[in-house]
This record gives sequence, structure tokens and C-alpha cells, in this order.
Amino acid sequence: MKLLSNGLLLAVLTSGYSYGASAESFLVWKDGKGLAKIEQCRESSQERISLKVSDRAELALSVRESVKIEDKTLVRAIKENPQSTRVQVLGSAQKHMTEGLIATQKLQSLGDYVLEIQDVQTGRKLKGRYLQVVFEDGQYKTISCGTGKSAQRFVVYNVFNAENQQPVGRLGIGENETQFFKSIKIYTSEEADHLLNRQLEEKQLPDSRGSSASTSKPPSVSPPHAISTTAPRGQHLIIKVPLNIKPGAPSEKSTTIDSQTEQNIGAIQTEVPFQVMAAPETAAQVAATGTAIDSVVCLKDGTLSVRDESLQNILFQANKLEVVKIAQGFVAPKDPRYIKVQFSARSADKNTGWVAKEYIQLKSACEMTKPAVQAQRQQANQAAVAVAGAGGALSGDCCNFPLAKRPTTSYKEGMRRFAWRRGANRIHAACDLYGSVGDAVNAVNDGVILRGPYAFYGGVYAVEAVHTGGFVVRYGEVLGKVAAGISSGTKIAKGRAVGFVGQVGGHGKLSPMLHFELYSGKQEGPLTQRGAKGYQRRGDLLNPTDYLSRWEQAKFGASY
Amino acid sequence: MNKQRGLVFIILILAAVALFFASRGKISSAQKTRSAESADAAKSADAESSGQAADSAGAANVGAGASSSGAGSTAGGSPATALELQSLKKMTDILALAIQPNAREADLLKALTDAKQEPSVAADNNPITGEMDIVRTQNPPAGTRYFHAQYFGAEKKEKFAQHLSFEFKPGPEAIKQAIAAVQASLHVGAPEPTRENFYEWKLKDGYCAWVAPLAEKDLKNNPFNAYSPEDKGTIRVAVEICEQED
Repeated sequence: MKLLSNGLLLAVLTSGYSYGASAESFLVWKDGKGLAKIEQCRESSQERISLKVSDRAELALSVRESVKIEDKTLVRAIKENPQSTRVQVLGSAQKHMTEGLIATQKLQSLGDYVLEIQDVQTGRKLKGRYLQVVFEDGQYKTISCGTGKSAQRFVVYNVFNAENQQPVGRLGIGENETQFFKSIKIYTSEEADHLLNRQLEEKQLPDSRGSSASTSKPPSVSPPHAISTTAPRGQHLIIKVPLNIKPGAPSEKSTTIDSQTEQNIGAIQTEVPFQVMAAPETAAQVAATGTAIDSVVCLKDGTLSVRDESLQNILFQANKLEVVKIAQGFVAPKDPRYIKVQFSARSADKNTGWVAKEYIQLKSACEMTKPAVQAQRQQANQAAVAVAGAGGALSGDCCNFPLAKRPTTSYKEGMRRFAWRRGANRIHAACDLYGSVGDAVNAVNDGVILRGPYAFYGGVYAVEAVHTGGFVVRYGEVLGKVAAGISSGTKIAKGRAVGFVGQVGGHGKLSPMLHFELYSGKQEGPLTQRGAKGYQRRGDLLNPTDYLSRWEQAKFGASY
Repeated sequence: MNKQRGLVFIILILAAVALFFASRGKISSAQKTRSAESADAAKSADAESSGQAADSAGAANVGAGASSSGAGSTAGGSPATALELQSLKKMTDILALAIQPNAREADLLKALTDAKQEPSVAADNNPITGEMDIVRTQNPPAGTRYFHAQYFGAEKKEKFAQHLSFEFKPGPEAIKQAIAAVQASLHVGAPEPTRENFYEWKLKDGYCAWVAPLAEKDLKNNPFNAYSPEDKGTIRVAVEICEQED
């Protein structure tokens, strides 16, 4: 495909641009033209896109003929059915544009993957860049540009390189583009993170020992010391980048798109010279993420050797203050001085190993992170109090309905309704909004996350938030899967995903649902009250039905 | 006629006993044990046989609920040893202790400390919805792991247990064994056969107990526990404040 010469294109968006406004330009990729600036763009979003990632699968070309497609092949879904989907293969040089049927269960959401541009001809200016589709609040971000017959829609991607933790820019690519996707490689988020880390190391640390295994026996007498003198590594956080952070703005979500400067646009293309490396993760960053029981590699300097099960071989080096989960097995460790841990931010094939136990501590106990944890907690509490005391009030007009899809059945009747009597001693303290497992649960208003997810009931979890005006919501019966960037103290905007619909008992007879509890905020203390009769809840519990009804009407044009 | 019936009955009993001991011989005993309790594990097959006998007696009491739902096997995993079954019972006893009407968080911590499980407490407090303590352990007994308890309370007030759970290793009889342990520790009968692969009991004081095998997605999406694909079929045993009874 012949490329038109583009030079350095400027797609400058003026600061102060608001979502939904018109007459803005955006950088896009167009088949036959390459990078282009396009005018009159408005942001929009959609629940589904036709691009999917296929597992290794059989592609049925006809009744008798089929071909194999490799794991992580990009395809476009043409017609979806519950059992099989007609697709067009995009991400394979040999099978590009081949159509056939594939088992629907083999198709995965593009949002879970990162694309690397490999082909020089098609992607000269993008080679070495990584793209991740922007997926926020259960919706894919898109832009609609132009009007009338020239109107076009593009799916928005964040663009990453090895030199920056944050995206360096955004790029729109039409869903119907074909040549662009012909020679790409697809990684899971974890793989891409690991790959970029390695690229960063190779550029920054010429004497790095990398991640190759070496043999080293653990010390047999004194407490194990496994600190090396390798310089600390930066860490890319592709999978942890809040998807609503704009390029160049590592702060809270704003309702405006930051300016895309020449430098940012240039950074999207490969001619930009190597930039300054990202700084290692700080104690403050560690403090602000994860759960209260997260542990860290409690080192002031250096790295910690991570060993295999035999403890004889070093698999890789862990950085100071890396967050870990302690991985317990059902049998005792061979050597009680070692503990098995899992590094959440590393790729799945190399994120688990054994480390010296004395260097793993709760982040609230490690002397390096304890002050930051306390400070972060204090800030979170102040933010919560500030939100609680801010203007605004709970009303029928204040807020959004918490689900992107209308509940599948009425929440005003039967056991789903507020105040339904559950057994002899308990009254239902919520409205149950039926949906599908994995549906995004969205913040009804601006606010701060107070807690969660924490174990709630029957294998599902709950998230608590205080919203502007002071009312409190418990979003109950959500999955344990943590929505991007959500932890205690996170400031949230109306509509942001705070969790995902779960199902009590896993696969049982109770339908998947959001258990929605509402409190006025006029009292303090735990929302569940043991021994209290009736609702067994804090005294400022409210009936959410009318509020939900009005928010439902506003969003869907109908209410049960 | 009565004599004939008696004779048939005796023959059936003898046949059942013979089958029981025949199958026992095939059970693998290749299990590593906790170093603190390795001496127990090294004892003779008598300890194992008594554990297995208790297991089958307990399993027989499970009743229609579990058996009609096909309770029993979970993916992968070797049969539990006597030591692991003892661990299972220890843990369900701890759950039972923690939800006694006058039990406090300190009582739980003492029980875990006395059992050498090395408990730790992490606080998750805020001025709006109060205090939550998360209790975890670093040295779980053989065959179990990831003890997790959540205590809620307001400042300067005694906290109450909202959720306590642990995981038991997968195995061919793991669900039945877990159900039996819950029944023995909490003095309850057959679970309510209301849901597939989810066995539940209503307890006093607003608590419910449940036993369920964990699917891969349950394990993967747990915000507190590390995940490994080999863990599929792990059993979770929990006691918590009831929320959604049928």
C-alpha cells in the first residue's frame, strides 16, 4: 500500500475542549493516506466494536474446508451468533481478509490486548509504537468526524512507547480499516508491559542482567540476603494506566481533552529521538493503589532475587517497593525463610516466585511505604469528608443510573424490591438491579471510593462510595475484579466504572445483579449492623426506588 | 424369615467394610506436611484410617442435599490426608468460634495465634463508613490456605465479624469433606439444596455458612488472593452475615 507523504501533522486540540463539543480536529489513520488530521470531530462512545481477538481456533471456510488461525489473531466480527460468528481475519499476513465461521467463545474483547505495529510499509511512522483501545465505563471511546456524506467514525486508541509510562498520544482508527491491521502483533496487557520494561532496560541499563535465569544457591546459615546491586528499573503500567488520563496529564480525570502538542504528536511517530526514562514507582504511588492487605518488597535500595520452587535458580529480580500478593499453597514451604509471591503488574509467564520472607511486608508496615500509606489515607479521608460536605444533593435529577443497560426485570417487585421481607428477621435493604455478569457498574455521581471491593456475600463483593452532596452508596454483589484505578480514596466522576455485576453463588440460581443500597450520609459507621432488627443496616438507610426510577427514566426513556 | 433378613443384613455390612478397606489401599499417601506437624504425619496408618473413617461417617451424614446435587469431586487434587482433614476441622471450628454471640476479634486472633497460624491485621478505615479490619494468616494448616476475615465497627466500639472464610484443597471428596466439617463444627444438618455447586446453611444471629468450589474466574478475580491455574476446584468455606436468602 503506497503511503502518501505526511510529514509531521499537527492535530492540535485546544485546551478547554469539552467532551461532546464539535469542530475539533483529531489525528487518525486512514487506509490509503496514513496519518491524517481530520476536522469537526465529536467524541462519542459505543458498547461494542467489531474488532475482536481470537484464541487459537478453526476457521470454517465452508462445510468441508477449514484453516487454523493462531492465538491472538485480530479479526473483525461480521455477524455474531451465540454459537458461531462470521469473521474476517485481519491480523495475519497469510490469511488477511479471509472470511469464515469461528466459535464465538474463542473471541475476546480487544480491550484486553495491546497492538504493536510491525510492518514498515504500512506503519513506518508508527513502528515500535503500541496501541491500546480506550475503553471507559463499559464503552469504547470513538470520535465522529465530519458531517453528512463525509461523516466518519473512528475508534480511539492510546499510543504507548517504551520511554513513557503514560500514553504519548491518541490515535483514531476506523473500524473498517484493513491494511493497517495486516501486520501487527498482539500482546496481552501483561505481556506488553513486560516487553516495554525490557526495552526500557535495554536502552537504559547496558549492563543489566536482564531476566535470564542464573544459578545461585540460597545461603544455608544466616538469614538470606538476596540484594543485588543492579540499578532499579522503571516499570510501565500499561494495565494500570487509568484509561481516562489524557496524554501528558498524569492526574485526575478532567472533562476536557488536553492539548496535543507538536511534541506529543511527534512522539507518536518514530522519528522522535529517545526521551528521558520514566522514574521508578514511588512509595506514594504504591500507597495509593491496591488493597489494604497488599504487601511490598520492603527494600530501601537494590533488588530482590526471585527464585524458582527449588530455590536454587534465580528467575528474575524484583524492584524495591514492588507490590505483591502472597501466594499460599496447601503445603508448607520447603524453607520457612522463603515465601511465594505474585507480582500483579508483571506478565503472567513471569510473575510468580519465591523470595526471602523478611523482605516482604504489608505496605502499611514497611518503613519505606508506611508514611506514604498514612498520608494517602489521610488525604483519602479528607477527600471523602470534602465530598460529603460539598454542594449538591441527592435528587431525582442529580445522578446517573448505575448500569449502562436497563435491568432485565423490574426492581420494584418481589424479592428484588426494597423492603421485601427476607425470612422472619430481615428486610431487604436494597433494590436489586438484574443484569449480566461483567456488566459495568457505574458511579451514580461524582465522589470518592471509601472502600472495596471487599467480601460481601456468597462469593461476591461490595464497593462503598460517598458522593457529592454526602449520600453514600454501597454497590453490592459485584465481582472481585477491580475496576481500573479503583481503590480506597480514588476520586470518581459520575459514570465511571466502580465494579462489575456479579452473581451470588457463582453459577447458581440467583440472577446476576447489582445490589444497590443508598444512605443519606447523616450518620457514620459501618453500613451493616449486626443484630439490628429489620434492615440490619445503619439508621440513615434510604429507599432508593424513586431515585433509581427517575434516573432510569432519564437514561432509557422508560422506567419499570 | 427374620433370621434370613438378619443374615442378609450382616452380609451386606461385611461387604461394605471389605470394599471400604480395599479402596483405601489405592489412595495415595504421597503428601508433604507442615513442618510443625510432620511428626503426626509420620505416624502409622492407624492415624490415616481413623481420619478416613471419620471422613466417610461425616460424608454419610451429608444427606440428600449434597448427594442429589452431585457433591463430591472437584477438578484435580489428591485425596485429603488425615492431617489435612484435621486442619479442615480446625478451621471450621475457628469459624464457629468467631461467630459466637459474645466472641470478639481478639478471641479470633488468640485462637489463630494459639494454633500457630501467625495472624496479621490490616485496617481499612474511613470517617464515613467506619472501620474494617482484615485478618489474614501467614502459616495456614496443611490442606488449607487464605484465611480471610473482615470485622466492621465504629471508632471505639467493639467490632463484629461480617465475613470469615478459608480455602480447602481440591480433591475427589473435597466438597463432601468440607460439608461434613461445617456440619460438625456448626452443628447443622444437610445444606439447603437451592443452588448448583453452592451449599448453604442459615445460622443463628443473622449468619449464613456456605461451601462452594471455585471456578477459574472466581480465583482469578479475587482482589486479595494470588491466582494460579492449578487452583481450579479449590473449595471455599465461609461464614458471613446473610444477605440474599432465597
